[in-house]
Amino acid sequence: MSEAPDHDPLGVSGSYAVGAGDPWLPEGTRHEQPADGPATLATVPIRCVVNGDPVEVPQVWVADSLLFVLRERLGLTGAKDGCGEGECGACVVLLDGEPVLGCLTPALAAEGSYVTTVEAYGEGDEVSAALAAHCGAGCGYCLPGIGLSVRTLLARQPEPSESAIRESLSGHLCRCLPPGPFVDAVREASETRAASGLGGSGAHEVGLDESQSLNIAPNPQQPGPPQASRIAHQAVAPRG
Amino acid sequence: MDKPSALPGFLIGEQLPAETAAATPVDLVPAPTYAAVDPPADGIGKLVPAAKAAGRYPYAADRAGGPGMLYASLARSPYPHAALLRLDVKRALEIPGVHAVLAGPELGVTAVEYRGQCVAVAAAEHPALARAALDAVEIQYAPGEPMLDARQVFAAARRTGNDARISAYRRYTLGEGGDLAEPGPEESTVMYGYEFGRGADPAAAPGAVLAVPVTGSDGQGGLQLRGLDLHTASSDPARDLHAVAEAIGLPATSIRLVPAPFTGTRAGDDPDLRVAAALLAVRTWRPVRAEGGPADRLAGDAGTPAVRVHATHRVDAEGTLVAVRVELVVDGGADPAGAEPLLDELCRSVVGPYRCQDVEIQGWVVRTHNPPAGPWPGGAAMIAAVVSEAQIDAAAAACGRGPLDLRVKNLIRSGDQLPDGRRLVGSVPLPELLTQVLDTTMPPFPPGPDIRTFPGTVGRTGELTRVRRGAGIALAMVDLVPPDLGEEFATAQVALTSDVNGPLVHVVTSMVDTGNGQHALLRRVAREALGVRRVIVRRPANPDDLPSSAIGPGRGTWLHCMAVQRAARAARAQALAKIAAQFAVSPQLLEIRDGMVVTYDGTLSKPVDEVYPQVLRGAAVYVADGEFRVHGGGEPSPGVFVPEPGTAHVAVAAYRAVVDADTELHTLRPVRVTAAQDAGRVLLPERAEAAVGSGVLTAVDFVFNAQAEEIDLAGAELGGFGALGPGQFPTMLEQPELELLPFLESSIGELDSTMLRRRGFAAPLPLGYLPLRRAAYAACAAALACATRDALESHPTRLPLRPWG
Repeated sequence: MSEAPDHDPLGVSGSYAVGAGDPWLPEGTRHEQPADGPATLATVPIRCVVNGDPVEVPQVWVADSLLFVLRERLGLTGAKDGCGEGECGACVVLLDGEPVLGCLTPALAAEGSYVTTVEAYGEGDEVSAALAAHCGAGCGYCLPGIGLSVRTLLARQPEPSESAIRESLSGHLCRCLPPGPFVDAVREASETRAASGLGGSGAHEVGLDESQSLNIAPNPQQPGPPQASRIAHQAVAPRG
Repeated sequence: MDKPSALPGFLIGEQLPAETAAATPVDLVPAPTYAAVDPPADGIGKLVPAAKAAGRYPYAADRAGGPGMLYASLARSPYPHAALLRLDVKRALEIPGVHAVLAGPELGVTAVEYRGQCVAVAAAEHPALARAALDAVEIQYAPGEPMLDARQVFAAARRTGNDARISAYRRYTLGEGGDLAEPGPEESTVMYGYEFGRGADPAAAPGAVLAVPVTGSDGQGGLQLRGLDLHTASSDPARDLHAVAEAIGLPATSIRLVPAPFTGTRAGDDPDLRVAAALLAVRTWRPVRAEGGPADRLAGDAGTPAVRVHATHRVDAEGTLVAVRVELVVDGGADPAGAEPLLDELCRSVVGPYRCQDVEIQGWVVRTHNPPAGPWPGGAAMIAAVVSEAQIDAAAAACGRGPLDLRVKNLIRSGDQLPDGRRLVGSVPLPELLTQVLDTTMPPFPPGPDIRTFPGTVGRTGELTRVRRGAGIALAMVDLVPPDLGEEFATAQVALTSDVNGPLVHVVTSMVDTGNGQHALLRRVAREALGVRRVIVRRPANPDDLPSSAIGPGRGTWLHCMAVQRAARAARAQALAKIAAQFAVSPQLLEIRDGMVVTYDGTLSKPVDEVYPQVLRGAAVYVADGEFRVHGGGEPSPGVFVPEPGTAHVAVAAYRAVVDADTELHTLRPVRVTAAQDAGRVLLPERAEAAVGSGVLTAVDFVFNAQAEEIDLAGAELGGFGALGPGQFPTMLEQPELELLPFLESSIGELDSTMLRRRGFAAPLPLGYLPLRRAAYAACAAALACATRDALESHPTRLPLRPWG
């Protein structure tokens, strides 16, 4: 307890094992294997671009979720921890422009990637304005995640049908408001975008400054599959 | 921050276990200060929705605990019934980074009474470490034979005569008590048993709680723990604070509950999380955050017991309901006393909005090894609506008349008696609502061409030739003031003043704004009474300055609006007296209407912006306190609302649901829900619409969500797919279109004009979020069940529905 020596709290403990010598672990992985310890926890530094800013997060436990790192290590609390099991969609963030469930995405998957959270849009854009206008009477916990899905949808389909809107938001569980206000909000955002001549992917506009990407180019010495780590997270995809 | 002032000198350090109190904590962090701990008090304006959409709204989970914050985790029992033989937390405490582990007796747990009961909690520097610590806690259980099926428990109790497991019994009779022995000629009797499974709350996790210890100097150069700040979603801080204080054994005065915005449709955070965070913060002297995870979802306060209802209805050849007999058993789980409000309301309302001369209702709560049932807000009205509507449909079929015909024929009216003998008063505008619903058009059939509109949505759709459509009408009635109500009260203070920009009203209220526009409502009430646009609503810095009692769900809006209205009218009276003197008229003749000061005869009509500056010169302030009390009995007096003995006030709703059923693949799709509701009065349309929307979503979840069974902790039966399709919880793809008809504004208005106005209360007020939501939940669930029955041409009696029987 309080007398415990000061040391890396994630260095040794518990039963959360990582196989030794995994070749795909990034450089700088700390991997301790005590002689008779139950198992080890490995921590790694993670470098990525979050909302346009290159960041390096030291000592990320390999099983930490992207959501945990964003909320607890970087203080970006816009993505919410809802169900913790990929069902509610409150934790959606964009990883290289694609919506992913932050609670199921390992933080390691963000290594060398662009992460976009709702904070990237600051005080708000036309999507958050439309969501606030139509869906503000609910508790609002799902809104940041829904906003990111809406931006992705509008980037792909500037004028989505109601079915397409419902389908694209079916990965979000809102229990304060029926689908109607959300459909209205997406339509309004779509119209505002059209009126202001915005096309293409708004989602991709944040954080994709090529000049910044040099710092985090994939390490050619690393034979591991960076792609494989991206399979693990689940995109908010239509079901069926 | 005025933390110490809220804690009148109580020194918690003296009460801690000796070794904890003696140890000087390493890395003791002074409690962080919170600039804006309360949700911004704008309610539904523009600021709060914008903050929500931008991810800046301060939910409890988003509040920084400060450096040194620990993460709490809860271990839950895998057994429904077991003795705790041995508990050893030594290994858990050896894990570096783990600061405290409390188990068994330290949490007040000596035996496991239900599966999912919290048996150990840990605080560590990383959530994974806290979980690892719990894994390392050695707990030896001695499992006993659990009793999970309320029906078996009930049958055994009746057989053996040992009613130790029956914790409550209610019986209500009307007329000859539903005597069904001798059916008359041409009378038909329908008898069905209905089962309601445990619902699951799909709205994410059970929230988050942040406990921050407050330390201060002990006067000898050291530190001592002075109290605790508890950040948690709570609609009733007074009640929840006392519950936590009792659970952790500290006086309530040493805990300050800081309300956080709500998440989802929950009535507040899981009590287990509150207690865990508070205990661990007191033990470690560090901020502790406890967040609910998937395992905490059902074990916490899902509060939805399994209920069985056996209903017998008899109608004559004309379709008149002549007798009703109902027996019902509520599975109270490990805390059956918590389910008694549910039993009470269910017994009083299970006949539904229909009149009948001869009624007998009997209800029991049994104790089992399921999670505590809780009052299940809205559950009683929902079950009552589903049962009564199903029985009316069955009775209509039995006597060869139309279901609508039977409903209209037996509809309850103002003045009719409820099963508990109370007489309905106020307006009960069911015929109007029903007409409204029937005047709407049906959605086109067949669905399509978009496959996403078929039953099964995407991935499990069949041929349209096998799709059958059903429509169902349902009526629901929600009791607003139960007869056995203890005293509830709310207080407010209103000050009319001015600044350089003109007149200004300050409202201080005991009502918590949980982020859904509560304070916006109060702003409108004050604005209406005083005619001033600029109204600032806030809670007092010290909650004790404006006391309020625990207020039952569904009456908060009413009581708080009333308190503000009374205070505002008292402040207005002061200002009007001054105005009257200036204009040389009697103050009784003056009114404030639509932002104008007018005399009843029209000789004076001036905007308040013109009149107020004259009476608000200098530092003039008109302050008034307002209080509103309600209780079930006693003498009515100004400021106290007591329903006339033996009367009942209800909120009503009429719904039509349209459901498509794929009879080959056994999938269902709710196509459209048409909603007509009485809202009392609508001050904030978006809030009223959200209440209805939320009720409809909850109903769809409950009626179609077979997954609820899968995670039923009783573990008796595992359902397969949800009835809507291969998904889990109904998503936006499967939700029906909601056609919300204009709100009727009458019932509370009627209550006001007949009862309240006579006692000095004036303008009608909104029913509030919860009564609207409950009525929507009840009527929508019943309408969906009726529509499904119509589509399948069978009489399913089990909810959640399984179209394959």
